[in-house]
Amino acid sequence: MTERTTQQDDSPGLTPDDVLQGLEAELSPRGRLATAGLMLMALAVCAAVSSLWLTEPGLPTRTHIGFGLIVVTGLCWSAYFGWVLSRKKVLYVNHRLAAGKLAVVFSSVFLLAALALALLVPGKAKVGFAAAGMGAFMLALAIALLVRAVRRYRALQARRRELEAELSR
Amino acid sequence: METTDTQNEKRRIELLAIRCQLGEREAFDTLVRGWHRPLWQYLRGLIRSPDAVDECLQDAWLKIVRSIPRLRDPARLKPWMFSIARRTAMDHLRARYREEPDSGIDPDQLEAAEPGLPDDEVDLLEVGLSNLGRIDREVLTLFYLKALSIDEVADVLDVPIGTVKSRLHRARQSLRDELNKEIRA
Repeated sequence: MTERTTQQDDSPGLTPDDVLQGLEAELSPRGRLATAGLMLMALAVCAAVSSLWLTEPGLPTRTHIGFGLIVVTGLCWSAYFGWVLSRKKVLYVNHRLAAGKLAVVFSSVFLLAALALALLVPGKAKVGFAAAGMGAFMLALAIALLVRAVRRYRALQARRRELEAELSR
Repeated sequence: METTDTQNEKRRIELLAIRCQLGEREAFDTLVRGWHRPLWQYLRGLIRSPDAVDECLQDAWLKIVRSIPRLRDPARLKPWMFSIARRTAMDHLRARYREEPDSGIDPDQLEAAEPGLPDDEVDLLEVGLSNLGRIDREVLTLFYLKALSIDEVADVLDVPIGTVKSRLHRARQSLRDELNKEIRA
């Protein structure tokens, strides 16, 4: 650094190692990806339960209330995990790529399972196609997030190569 | 005119910011090890209590690590980090003190100056700085000791460039008075 060095008698009470130790949990990709996975699971539960709720005829009031509570709880958890990812465990670009791929795989599996239910299990076409519709929406969202992450990754890598070339001259 | 060393330094800082945005663990190690002391020195100039400085420093690093993916221009890493440290210190001070009033000195009175100081003058500046008020100390530290340009200092302090110039002008006068007092003593 071209920073001017100064001679001071006192020095920080915390060393860089202390700071890095304190940041360990922040820098670990494990917690971030686990949070992203939990958000996906909460969304998948919401999609599956909503499909059943919307397609099952003649449900008693108590069951309607039960399904409604499960869906609202799932949506609250999804919103909470989304807030954690945007404020507390912000995804770095490499993590966004991994999370995007995870989301695409996860929603594809959900979509395929829903389609299999609709096409292969007799009498489950309605609920299967309803779930497949939600799975398709989740997949489209996941692809959009992945494309955005790939664009950002490529832009940063291009600038990185440019800077490295300039520095090596 | 910027020297090749200055340009390369800026490139290295931007490269480091990009590696952090990508999420490379080694880049964060380099970031913390390289900027720990400058940020501490800056906070030390704003807050008297050493314990509070350490607390703010840890808090500032947490904010830096959490917000770096949202840094739009990686080339602005240096003033951006100081502005986070400053906001953290202000949050701390706001809880205890009322803000000091700003001065109304004419910005045009400020002579043309380059950021930074020759190394042999840094010690002299440090002696005078310890007796100045927070606002004067802060602007002189950023401009002369941390070698930030006037527009970068304005970014950090979140004030117009004219205000930075007027604060620098006033701070330099106060520093001159302090150093004269030291010499006479």
